[in-house]
Amino acid sequence: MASERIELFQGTLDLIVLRALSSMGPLHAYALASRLEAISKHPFTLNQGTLYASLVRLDQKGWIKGVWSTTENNREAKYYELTKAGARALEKQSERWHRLADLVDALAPEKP
Amino acid sequence: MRATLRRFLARLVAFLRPGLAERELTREIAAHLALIEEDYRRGGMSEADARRAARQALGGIDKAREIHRDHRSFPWLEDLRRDVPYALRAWRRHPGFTLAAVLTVALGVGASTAIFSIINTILLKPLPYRNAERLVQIAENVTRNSDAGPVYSRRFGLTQVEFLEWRARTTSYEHMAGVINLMSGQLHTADGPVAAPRAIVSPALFEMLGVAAQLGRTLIPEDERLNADAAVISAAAWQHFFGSDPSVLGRQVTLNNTSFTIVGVMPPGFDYPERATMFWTPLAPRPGPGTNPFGNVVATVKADVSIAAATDEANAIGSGLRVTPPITGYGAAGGPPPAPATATLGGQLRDTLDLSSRPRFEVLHLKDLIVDSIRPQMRVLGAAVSVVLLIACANIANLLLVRGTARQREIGVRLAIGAGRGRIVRQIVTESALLAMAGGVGGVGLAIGAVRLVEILATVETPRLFQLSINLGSGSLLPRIAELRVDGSLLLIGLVISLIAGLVFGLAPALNLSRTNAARAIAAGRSREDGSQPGGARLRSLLVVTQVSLATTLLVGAGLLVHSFAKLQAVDLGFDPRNVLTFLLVFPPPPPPGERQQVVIERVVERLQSDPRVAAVGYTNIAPFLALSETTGLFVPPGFTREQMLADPRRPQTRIVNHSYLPAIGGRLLEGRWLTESDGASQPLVMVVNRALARRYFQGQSPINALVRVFRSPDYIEDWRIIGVVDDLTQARVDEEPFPIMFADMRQVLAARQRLPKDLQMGQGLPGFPTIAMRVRTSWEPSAADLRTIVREIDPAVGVDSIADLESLRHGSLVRPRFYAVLVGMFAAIAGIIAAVGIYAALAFAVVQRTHEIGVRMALGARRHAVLIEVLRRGVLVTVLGVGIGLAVAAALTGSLSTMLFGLSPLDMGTYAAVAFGLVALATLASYIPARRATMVDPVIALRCE
Repeated sequence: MASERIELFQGTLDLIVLRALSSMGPLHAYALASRLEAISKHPFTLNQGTLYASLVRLDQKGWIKGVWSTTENNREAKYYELTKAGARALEKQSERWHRLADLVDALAPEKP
Repeated sequence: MRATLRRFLARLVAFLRPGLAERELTREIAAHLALIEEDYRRGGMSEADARRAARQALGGIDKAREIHRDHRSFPWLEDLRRDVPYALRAWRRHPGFTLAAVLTVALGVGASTAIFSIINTILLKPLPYRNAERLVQIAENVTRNSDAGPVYSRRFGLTQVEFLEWRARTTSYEHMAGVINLMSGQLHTADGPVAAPRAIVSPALFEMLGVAAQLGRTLIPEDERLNADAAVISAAAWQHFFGSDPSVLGRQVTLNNTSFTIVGVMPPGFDYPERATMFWTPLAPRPGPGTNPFGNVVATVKADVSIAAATDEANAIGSGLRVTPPITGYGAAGGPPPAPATATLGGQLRDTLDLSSRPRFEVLHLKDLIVDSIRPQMRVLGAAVSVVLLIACANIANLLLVRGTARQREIGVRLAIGAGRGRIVRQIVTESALLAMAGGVGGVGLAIGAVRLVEILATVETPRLFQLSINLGSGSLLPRIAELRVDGSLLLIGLVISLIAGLVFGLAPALNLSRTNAARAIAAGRSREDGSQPGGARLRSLLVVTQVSLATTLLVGAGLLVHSFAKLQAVDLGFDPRNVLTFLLVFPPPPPPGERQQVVIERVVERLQSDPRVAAVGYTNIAPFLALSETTGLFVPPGFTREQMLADPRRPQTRIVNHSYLPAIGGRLLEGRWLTESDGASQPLVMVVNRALARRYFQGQSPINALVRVFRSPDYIEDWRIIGVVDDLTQARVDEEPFPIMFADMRQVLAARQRLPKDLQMGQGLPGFPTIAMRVRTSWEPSAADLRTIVREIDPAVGVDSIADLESLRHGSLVRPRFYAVLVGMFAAIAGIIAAVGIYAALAFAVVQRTHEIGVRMALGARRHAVLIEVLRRGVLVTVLGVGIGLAVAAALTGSLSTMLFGLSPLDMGTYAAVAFGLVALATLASYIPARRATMVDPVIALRCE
């Protein structure tokens, strides 16, 4: 449903991608999209194409790196992995994210 | 930070090498799709379903591509890369439209760039001297009563004693320099004396202005002593007299009978006090009583002293030095009837300042003194050119709106398939920007040409002496024009103007289009009706009305200037300037006694009279068009007292002539007789007066045979008899009310002076500038060398200078009104044509849009005639509205032109009517073409278009 669809901020999607790559190791775009869909509690539909915005941004910043490889079914795919700079950035971004979330919680406590 | 930089570089690479990333992306998307498809097939989907579902999951291949593209590069640059060729293609499809648009922008931008560059150079740039913003002159405001009320004027300069005193007492100035601009500077050459404009200056001037010599040295403080003989020469003098010989330093020159040693050559372009100045020699103020006021005082105010503080100091020092009150009044009581007041073109040249509320002494910025007089005219030109630019912009906006409306359908379709509005606005803005750029480039090219044209138009070619009568000294109407360069600042001005123009004409169409309703636009496109916003047609009409009204206002202003100029051209000079040549006889200083001058003058006249190529010849001490007033002796006609005449600001001037002068230049005798050969030294004193004199002092009675007393002093009186009345001759300027003048024979003037008591015999020579005027037969055009040879044969010490023919002097005296009439007239013509094109375009478009409607009406039996009238009516209506508004605006604004008009009110009905009639006629013509096309509509074809 359109009303339940979560609009992701640029930075948020970037953080999610970094997190996913950090916890699950190298992933290709499809796997990444599938994981995101699977693990989200809310059923949010993601146009998988939207992921490319994040991927190209992170790649250009040097935080992730894409390598061509083959899947277990022997199909070619571009796998993305976290770089060292990416790992450092993830740490920093997570921290910021938590601070921001705390702030939002403090200001607007969830309704009982 | 590092990540940001890295990303920026990566985006730049992606923009510059789009192929690389694109291939990689294609591969990745293909792989991505394959993976999804495989999953779906495994889930039991058919191959075709899996493919469709995969694409859906991805959200569309193109969308994904676009997302990638937008993020890996700079989307606006990417858009630009696609929009520019798109725009160029669109233009190539409409070469006529494109050419008209680019040309319109180029005209607007070109004219404005040229004029604003000139304004920038003249009014805004600092003077090309050291501490230019601190250079000042000290002026004294003087009030004088006249029969037209108080007249204010400014007096510059100090006597030598005052200068020394002032310099010793001041604490406000870093430097203070005296400048005597020597009008009659002469250089002695092998060919006799030649005019060589010279300035006698305090040596501190050069240090003060911060200008070094290009060869040798400038004057230095040590030169400020009596009998110092150092002279600095201008680059022009170096080239002209010394062939740019580097060994010129140390050479001796004789200037006005004094010997100087050349110590330096100034760089070209050094133009203080005048562009014409050729020699600078040191000024050493001589303490002691009785020294006359000398030229100007220039000073550099100290950096920490304000102008107000310097002014206070000037009043303290000045009032102490000049005890006499600054008001010199003519007692107004019992004066003669005032002369009729006339509004003349020269208004701006006269002192119209109201100084009554100013302090007596003022410290004024040097730059303001140089450029203030031209400020109002520059404002007029700036306004005129801005109007041209505005009309051009309104026209382009209209053309773009029209074209935009024609493109409604295309845009509707693009909106429908998902193009963003911002994207469409951006694309349209790109087209406008490209148009502005192309027009800007053309405009800057035009501006470079226009600047040269303005320079040429402003050039005055008459001899320097005569330029004083039109208040010039630098060979150009425009001060500082020599500093004008085609340089970066001109380009910058052009760029800024094109940018502004692009914004102005590009924004409205862009906004209008982006508001397009997709469905309606597509539907409208099909039915060939105006699918634009309801306000679109109104906006277009508004733009046309704006153009027409602006053009009207400008045309009225130009019309007034042109009309005024035509009147000036037609002014009766009172003599016949054709084939009359005048030249000055230059006697080596000090001027020889009048009797010796008379001998030379008479022999030159005789020699020329005997020349078969000369029809007539005469002598005068003040040539026509020379701004010099000369009153020797006080003229008191019968019925007037000496006191009354002393109080008369227009009391008669004297011209010393020989008997053949007035007939030679073609003067018209109204009454009585001319002076003749027999009115010699020992004969009764007789004079010819002009009509202005007869009218002012004889009130309709004939002055012939009236005996006039001429007071040489309160007790020494000569009696002169009036024997003739000559029609008024133009004096300094064509637009001036003729002054009362008496003409007396040189022989009688000299003889009368001989009889004067010794203590009244002031001055040895003849006053004025001895001038020979000769009417040549058309076959002879004597050169300067011819004339020099003739004169040298008579007296080798006498030189010839300021050779000019009266026709070109007349031409030269009109250079200022011609300049403004031509420039503003050109701008107005451009504006009128652009406005007419605007009307044409708007109507032509309306007709095309209404082809269907007109077809239906004609199918239903409407007459061609009725259709023609209807379309015409629409064009004429818009024009009449615009013209009406324009005339009203003109009536409100042209008052500011009044000082530039001669014999013409700023509300001159004839001019207004002519402009209104002309514009309506032009608009009717411009409307007729599309109207006629409307009547050609074939109902069958129009309806079949469906």
